[in-house]
Amino acid sequence: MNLQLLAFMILSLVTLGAAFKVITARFITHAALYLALSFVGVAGLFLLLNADFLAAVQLLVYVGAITTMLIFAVMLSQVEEIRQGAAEEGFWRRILSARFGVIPLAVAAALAGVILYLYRFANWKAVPVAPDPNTTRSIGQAMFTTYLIPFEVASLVLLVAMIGAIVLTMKKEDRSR
Amino acid sequence: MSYLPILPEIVLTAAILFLTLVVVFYQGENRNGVMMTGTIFGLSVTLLTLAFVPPFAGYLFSGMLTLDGMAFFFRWLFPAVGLFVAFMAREFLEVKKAENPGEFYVILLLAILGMMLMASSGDLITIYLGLELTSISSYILAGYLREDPKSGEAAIKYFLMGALASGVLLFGMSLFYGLTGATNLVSISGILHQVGAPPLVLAAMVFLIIGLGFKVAAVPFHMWAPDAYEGAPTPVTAFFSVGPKAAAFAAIIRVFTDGLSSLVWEWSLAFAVLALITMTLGNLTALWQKNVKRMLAYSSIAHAGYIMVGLAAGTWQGTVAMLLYLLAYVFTNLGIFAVVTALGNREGKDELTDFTGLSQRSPYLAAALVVFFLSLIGIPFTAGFFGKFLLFGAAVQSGLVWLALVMAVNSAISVGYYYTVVRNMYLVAPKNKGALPVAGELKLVVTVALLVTLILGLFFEPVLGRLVAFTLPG
Repeated sequence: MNLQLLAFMILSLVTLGAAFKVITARFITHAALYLALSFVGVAGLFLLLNADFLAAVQLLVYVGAITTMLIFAVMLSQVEEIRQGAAEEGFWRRILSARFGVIPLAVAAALAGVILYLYRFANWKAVPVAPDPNTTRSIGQAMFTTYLIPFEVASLVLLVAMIGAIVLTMKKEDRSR
Repeated sequence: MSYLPILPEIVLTAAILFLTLVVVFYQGENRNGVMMTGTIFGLSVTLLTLAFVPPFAGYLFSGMLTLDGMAFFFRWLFPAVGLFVAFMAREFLEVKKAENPGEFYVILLLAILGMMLMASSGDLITIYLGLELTSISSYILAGYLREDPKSGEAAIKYFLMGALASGVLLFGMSLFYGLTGATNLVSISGILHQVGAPPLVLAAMVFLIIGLGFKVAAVPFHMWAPDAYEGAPTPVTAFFSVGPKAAAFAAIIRVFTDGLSSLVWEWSLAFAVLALITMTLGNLTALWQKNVKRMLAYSSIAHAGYIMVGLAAGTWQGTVAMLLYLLAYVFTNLGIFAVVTALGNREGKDELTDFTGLSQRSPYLAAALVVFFLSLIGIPFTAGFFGKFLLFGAAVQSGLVWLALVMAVNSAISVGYYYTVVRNMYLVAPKNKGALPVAGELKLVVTVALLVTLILGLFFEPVLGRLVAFTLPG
């Protein structure tokens, strides 16, 4: 087993394990921290693919900004249930219940099985490319030439999300009329 | 690289940014009215630019955009939808005491920009970004009445289901990228013609159908629609039932007829099945509704089913029929929702019983509503008839006689729930007496919608001729 495969295995396990804990953690702050760990794992996978710039962005934006903001939102939230976490319920009882355990698990397992089977026999088009020594430059160039329109539209998507967040949450007295 | 062909979009973006600043800095009393005027102005200039920009057909920005007849059709249709919705929104926002009426228009314009982008994209990336721009704007608009728990419920349901749908769609797109090494629809089409239809390509196609099926509210991916339509502010419901739906159909036409043209047999079969269950279930469930917005939600699900018959046909005749049907459906439905808004602004509950005696309280609105319903059913000399007629013809041409017959039976079923409203309006004594006061701009919207419905119904040949010239292959 070569070292790269080993690193891939470890990083994938970290990513998936943390992602699993995100949805099973009792406290939402714990879930947020596991989410950060999962993002770190993805950053490692980017590094394995020689995408150093993407790895750095992943760390800065997802781990640094998004997770921090999520934790802040939880801290500021007034709803007791969100801060304290849902009432504890037996893990095994949950797993064995039809509505929350058996049926979703069976559906997910079936989907995963089918997709893995199809992956195994697919004719993947992707070919390995030589590592780019200067990924930042290439990304910048692509962004302002080939991907100019998507780049601009992405900024509008952010704009609408920002306006929406303000409109839906701002209190009445905040605005001078 | 020339920016001239996308000047309408640039103008619209400039209007959006300008209006955002107006919302922030305008301190006067009549923010709602000023913003409505600004929105109308921005959209009108967009339409004018579209009319005067020299025609251009081809690919732009490294294939990110495809400007052709269909793109032109939708880039014209969506700002028109925006005009209607903006006119409907002003009085509604005032009556419901919405807290930030100004931003409503900015978000509406952003949604329209996203829809225009979806219709003219030539790449999976632009389709997805346009879709997200439209969807995120739609979630916000659905929850715009913060004091109303139903509005919040609509927003959260739409958001969760929409996020799931976007995830499924993205997964399908990523599979196509992995299999073909391209995101450009033309390149994907070329590569798929070589590789045929291996299982994973079909699986990826199913993911795309599910993801986009959510967006057009096709059964069985429709469960968000009734709640979102019922809880959302009425002008927003009007917008949902025509705008994002038509845009999602535009995206479907782009992805499937441009990108997956080699798999036409497979996807037309899938859409035939979806069309069958969507129109049947939509129509049957609509019969039991008490709330008019919920009833119209199921009606719009049923209409998505009819439109999918054009996809099931899998020919360019089917596409032309879809476009003409969308045109008829969009203006008819906007007219219906203008009447519902006018009534809801006074009665406030949107129940079917609110319509009792409307023929005495506002004879014009009642008569207009009857014409709109006739158009949705598909009675001759209204816009809806020719849409259905062409879909019917396209289905029969492709050998789908059974589907055409199901469509005819469904049109007959739909008479049932439209008749409930008509009976309430003309045969039942009014609950509240006295003339219904209707805002001037709502009357204007109803009149324009009525004119379009009738003109399209009486003189559809020139429109059809232009559409055929637009979309003719080659």
